[in-house]
Amino acid sequence: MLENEQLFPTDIPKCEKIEYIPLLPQYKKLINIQWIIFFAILLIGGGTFYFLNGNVGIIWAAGVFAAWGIWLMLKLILIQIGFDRKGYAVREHDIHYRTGYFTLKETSVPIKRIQHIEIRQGLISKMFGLAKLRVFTAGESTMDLSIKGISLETAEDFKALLTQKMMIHD
Amino acid sequence: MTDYSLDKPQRQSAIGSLFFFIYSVQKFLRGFWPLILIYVFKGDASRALNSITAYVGIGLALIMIVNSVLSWFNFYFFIKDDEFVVRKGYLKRIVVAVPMEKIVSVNIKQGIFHQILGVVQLEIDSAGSKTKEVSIPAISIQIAKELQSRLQQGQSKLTDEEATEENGVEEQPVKKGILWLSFEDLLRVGITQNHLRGLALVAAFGYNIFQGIKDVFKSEVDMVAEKTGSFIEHSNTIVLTVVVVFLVIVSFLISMIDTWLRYYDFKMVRQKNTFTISSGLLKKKTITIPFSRVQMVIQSINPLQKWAGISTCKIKQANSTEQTNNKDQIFTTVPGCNSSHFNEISKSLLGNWQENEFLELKPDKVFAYRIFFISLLVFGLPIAAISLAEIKVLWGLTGVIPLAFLIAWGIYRRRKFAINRDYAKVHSGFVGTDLSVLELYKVQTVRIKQTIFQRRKNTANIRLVMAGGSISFKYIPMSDAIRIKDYILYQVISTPKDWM
Repeated sequence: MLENEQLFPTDIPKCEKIEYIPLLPQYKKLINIQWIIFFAILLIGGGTFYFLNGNVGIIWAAGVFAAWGIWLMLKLILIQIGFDRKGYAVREHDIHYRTGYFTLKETSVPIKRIQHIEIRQGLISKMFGLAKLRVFTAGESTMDLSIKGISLETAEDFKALLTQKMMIHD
Repeated sequence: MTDYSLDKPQRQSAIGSLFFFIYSVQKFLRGFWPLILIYVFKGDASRALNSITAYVGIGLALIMIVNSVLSWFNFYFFIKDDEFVVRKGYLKRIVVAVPMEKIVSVNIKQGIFHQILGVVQLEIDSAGSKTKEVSIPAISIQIAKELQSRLQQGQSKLTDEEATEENGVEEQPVKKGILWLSFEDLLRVGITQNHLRGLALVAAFGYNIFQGIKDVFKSEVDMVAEKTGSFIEHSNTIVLTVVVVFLVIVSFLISMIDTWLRYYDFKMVRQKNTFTISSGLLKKKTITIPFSRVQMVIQSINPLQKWAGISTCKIKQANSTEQTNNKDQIFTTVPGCNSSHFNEISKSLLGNWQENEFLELKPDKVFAYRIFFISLLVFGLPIAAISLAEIKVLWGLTGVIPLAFLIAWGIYRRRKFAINRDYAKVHSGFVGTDLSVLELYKVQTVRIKQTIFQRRKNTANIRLVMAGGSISFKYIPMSDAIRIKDYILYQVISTPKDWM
């Protein structure tokens, strides 16, 4: 354990105290539907292959479909239990996003280091009134922070707020 | 200083047109070499020469010559209103203007043709996110030097003031040699290289050539391959030893040649707040490293280097564009440093990082167990799979356990994380040792991650993402990870310094 209060002064702001704001419940529906669509496409593809190609044994086919079914069930269960862990927080000088049930991840970006901000809205997410806010830094793009499952309005508010804060730092 | 009137538009030296020609020939060969190979070997060359192909060839050559002369004639460069301007193109006019203060580095390169003709190539790297780097294919060395100093003057005007107050370093002499590799040093660098890499290079290169030849001479290659196969099957241990010794010698030679090609006449010079590195036998390269752009310094020592008392120092810079092709610029290798060289280089780049003590952290033992099990799987599974066909192979499994143990122990023993007020460093490696050092205030993003395997003992990984790569403290107590994150965020937010 680290024991040195000189280095980590006690009065610096603590991330433990951050209260994460949960994502919109529509977002849970959206990811559920996205996964179901994905599995439906797999199922249609697999089924077509099975009926066109007469050589595949019924046992093999049943096994594969059962495995797919179990995978889908697990995935859906994971989405339900993991959803409450997802959340974001914006402090005065930094922005945080948290996700994951089995693997927890917490990403933090100081607003000073943000290079630009992007709002994205896909076709399906538009129907749900959802948007994604992505924050770009000079670091590796895989490590960038993106807040999914917020309303377009919130995303635009955040963008305005963050842009304003970024200008102060410059 | 001689005036080459850089302020008026001027062309490259007349030899420049030759380079445009060489480039177009190179491009042509690169695009069509399999076709040419087939034509030369399979077609009846003497008959074909009389026919249309000859006219096509002459036509192509003419077009290339005219194109290169026109390209050269219409290529101008000059300095105007604190901007470096290149004007080029005859069918399509292109004007590229780079503001002087945006210029990050000016690099001089000299390939084999350049050396023969006594000219150099100049490349300008700028900090703008979208501007592409500018390159002048062929100018005389005097003009290049003149341009380099003019451009770097304009750039240092701006960075000088902030840099001096930033580091508070005592006034440095204008130019200071840091490292120069003599013949002996080069020999040492060559001997201590990772020879496995040379072997891999041979394998990859050999395979490529093999595939290329195979396309043309299919039947012959198949026959040779068959013969080799039966030869290996019937050979005994003596032949095998000969083969192994041969491979060792070849990989050693490859490393030597590689070292000479890359690091011949290696010179590293400090000039104010930049390093300038030049090296290369056939292709002479000059790279400048502005200190402010450096994000991480890595020292790696393999067992051979440890024995010879040298190390390799790697300098990671922030990439100026999102997709930069210039790998040397982002990741520069300084070979053959002894410890005082490394100290001087790292001190110039990072400040006095060895001055204050570090708090050290070891990863949890679970980290070692994980590596052990992963290595067991990686080596064990293929062996198990092969043994389904050939039961004898199953004996190999007995070797897998000690091997996995060695790997896990080697990695775990060397892994150590350390942090103090201003710096973080990671010791890692498996056979050799690596040391990565970075300045905390340059961190871009912090990510804490806890996998399900870390839950029971409540350990976590913390990754510090920089503009050029990242480092990770693995399997440290969650409470420490959180404190480190809090501290780094605090440090980044409160620093007045810019990361670049």
